[in-house]
Amino acid sequence: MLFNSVEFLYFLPLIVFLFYVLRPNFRIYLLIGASFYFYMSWNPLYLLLMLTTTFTNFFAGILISRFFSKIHRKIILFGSLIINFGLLFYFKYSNFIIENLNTLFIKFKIEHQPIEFLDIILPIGISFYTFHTISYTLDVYKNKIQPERNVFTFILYVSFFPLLVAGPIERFSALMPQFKEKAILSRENFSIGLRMILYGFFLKMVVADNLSILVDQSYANISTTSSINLLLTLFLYSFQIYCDFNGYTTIALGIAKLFNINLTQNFKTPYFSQSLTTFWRKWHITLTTWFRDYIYYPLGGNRTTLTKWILSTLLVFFISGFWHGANWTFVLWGVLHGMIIIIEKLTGFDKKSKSLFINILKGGIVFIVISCLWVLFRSPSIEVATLFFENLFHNFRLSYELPSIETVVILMIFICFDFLTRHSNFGTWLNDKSVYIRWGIYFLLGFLIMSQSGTDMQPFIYFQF
Amino acid sequence: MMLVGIFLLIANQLYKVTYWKKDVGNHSDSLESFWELPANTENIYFGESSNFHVVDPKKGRHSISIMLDSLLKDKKIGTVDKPGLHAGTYLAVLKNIPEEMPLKMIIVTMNLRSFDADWRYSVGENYLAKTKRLIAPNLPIVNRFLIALKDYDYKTDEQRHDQLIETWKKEKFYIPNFKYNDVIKWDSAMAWHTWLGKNPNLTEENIGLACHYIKNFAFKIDPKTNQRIKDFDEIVEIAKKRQIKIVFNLLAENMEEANKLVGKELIYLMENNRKFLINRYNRNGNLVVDNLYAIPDNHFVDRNWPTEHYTRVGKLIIAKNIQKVLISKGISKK
Repeated sequence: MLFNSVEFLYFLPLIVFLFYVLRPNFRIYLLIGASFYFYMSWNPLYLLLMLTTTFTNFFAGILISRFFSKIHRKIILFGSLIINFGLLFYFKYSNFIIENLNTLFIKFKIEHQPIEFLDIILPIGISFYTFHTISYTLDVYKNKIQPERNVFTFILYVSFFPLLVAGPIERFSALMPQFKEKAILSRENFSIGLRMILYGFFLKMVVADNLSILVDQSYANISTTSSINLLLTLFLYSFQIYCDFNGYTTIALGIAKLFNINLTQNFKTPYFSQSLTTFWRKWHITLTTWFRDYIYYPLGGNRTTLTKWILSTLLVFFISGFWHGANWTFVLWGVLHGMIIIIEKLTGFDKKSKSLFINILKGGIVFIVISCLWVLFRSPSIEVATLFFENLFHNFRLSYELPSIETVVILMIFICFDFLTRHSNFGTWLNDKSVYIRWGIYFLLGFLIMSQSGTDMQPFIYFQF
Repeated sequence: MMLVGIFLLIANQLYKVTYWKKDVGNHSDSLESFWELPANTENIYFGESSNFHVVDPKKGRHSISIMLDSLLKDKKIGTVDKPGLHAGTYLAVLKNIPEEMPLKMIIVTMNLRSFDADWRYSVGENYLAKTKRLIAPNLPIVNRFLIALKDYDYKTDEQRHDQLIETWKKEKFYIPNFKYNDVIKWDSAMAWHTWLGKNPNLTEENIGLACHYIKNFAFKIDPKTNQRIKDFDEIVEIAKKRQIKIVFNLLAENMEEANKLVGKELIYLMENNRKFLINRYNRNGNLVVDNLYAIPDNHFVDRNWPTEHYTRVGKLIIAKNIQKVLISKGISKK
């Protein structure tokens, strides 16, 4: 069940209604039931996998807290990590490994029957909930939090439907106390929640889905698309992926708000960054902080030798790329980000300038670099990405087609909102606006969603991760 | 709720004057084709590509409906036609015809193939389902929004294929003294050369075509489950309410080729389906013009797929048959 589906438009109001009608101690069961139903709508069998991860980490947390000996705690932690990563690897990376092994056999002329691909479907959201739960076990191990002893609350922590399939990757310490608090129906929370849902739908259905038509068309015909159109595609995809993912997250934040739950803001106008280092502080924030806290800091963080810092930065970005998908394109995308961040640090490019002009110039450069790197993210293979760049500089003579005026206007509206909400989020930004402005914006967004949404609805891009 | 209502009314008005027509043009060209008709149209011919298909448009265009228009001296015939339409889309357009239009008669193409699973579950159905959703009797802006949410019978190519295979397995038919009773078995037998050498007309080259004939015509219409029957029934209901006469144009199929390649068993099923359709729809003042055998093999244009694409002469035969029936029933003058 997608957020942007008719089923969800019935599902959400019903759950919100029941949530406030039910006695507080029953609400948790309602949310678990709703989350299971939501997740099972893709494939009921996925639930078994999610429950395996849930119980593994739940019991690992309890066992770790019971043992005082370091070695026992470590064994339990590693056991839990092996199960978590084992499932993730099996479902997400098995076929990738098989494919690469087969390529190696051919390349090195090793006589071997090709290994057959496994008939497995990637369970939706597996990368997200795996990271979600691993953070819990690691925090218990590091004594940062006490283990949860109520299995139902823990199940809800893992399966809470707004963030189940594409994040944000929440920490136990941030989410759990909110589940235990008694939610009170608040007009302010409701307003903010609904506004964010409205804005999220605008981002996804109006901006991202319309841009996807143009982007998909170019990627399907790279050789016959003109350089100008490929250049446009390069930038349009940057907006598409941002609006797609940010749209999902904004809706998720809005939905959670309806239940009085505050989720972490995952994006803070990342394209207004003057360096890639800043970009990663504003893009998919919960994933970046996850890597920072559980990989980068344990490797020494900033307080280490230059060589070690370079290696750990590259490692983090390598893993980040690999986390996104089982394809060398993602790995290369991640590593290139890491390399540029290293160059930025070494040259001092990451430091903010006092001159506004320089900052704008740097912002432009960073946006171009990010957009170029997105080509790797969007391409199904490195060959396709190479073809894209080759044709970007060769197809000058082909005729070009500019986006429709509607697309340009929609993009402008989005950029305005993104700029205006750069210090807060859309929900709270509207708080101090006059009633005319607020309702004017509601009407505008409502009208655009109803009349200008893409007619070939696309699933959220990050669902595949 | 009141605010939502006000919003919907204003947004709908705004949408109607700005993007509605453009969206209909993009996603529902059948209704757009209706909009081109004058407001005082009394007779409409609903058709698909059988009406207008020509091999080489540069050599001139011709259509059954225009021929009919010139044959019927006392009637003007308007046309609503686009490729791949079927009763489901005619029905959606019919629901959009304003009450003020002085419609007296509709001639509705009845394509035997459109009752078959191969068409009912074809990938083109997504577009037609979207068409139907966009022009359903709702506020246009609500329909547009529901399209964005894919609230129509949308299926991936894979899902359509699965549906098709499932139906072919499930829908059985009975042919006396013939052991095959579903498409899958019959089609496989044909593909595995069961009749090669036994049927002198079959060659390795045309076995593929013989299989297509089986896939397209080997079925028994089940009125309880066949969506086309439901669509035609609803067309009849609407026409009855609005006192519009319906003439169903049961299209010609290449019966010679079907008989030559597959044999009398397939003809048996096709004739049974024809009988069923005539019995069901040739009553209560409505007519079925039976053209099933009307066109000889040499006036079918496509040679490697069973279609209803006819030559100019073929189209004229259909138009004349309709004219003859209308005159014989006193609906049109000589």
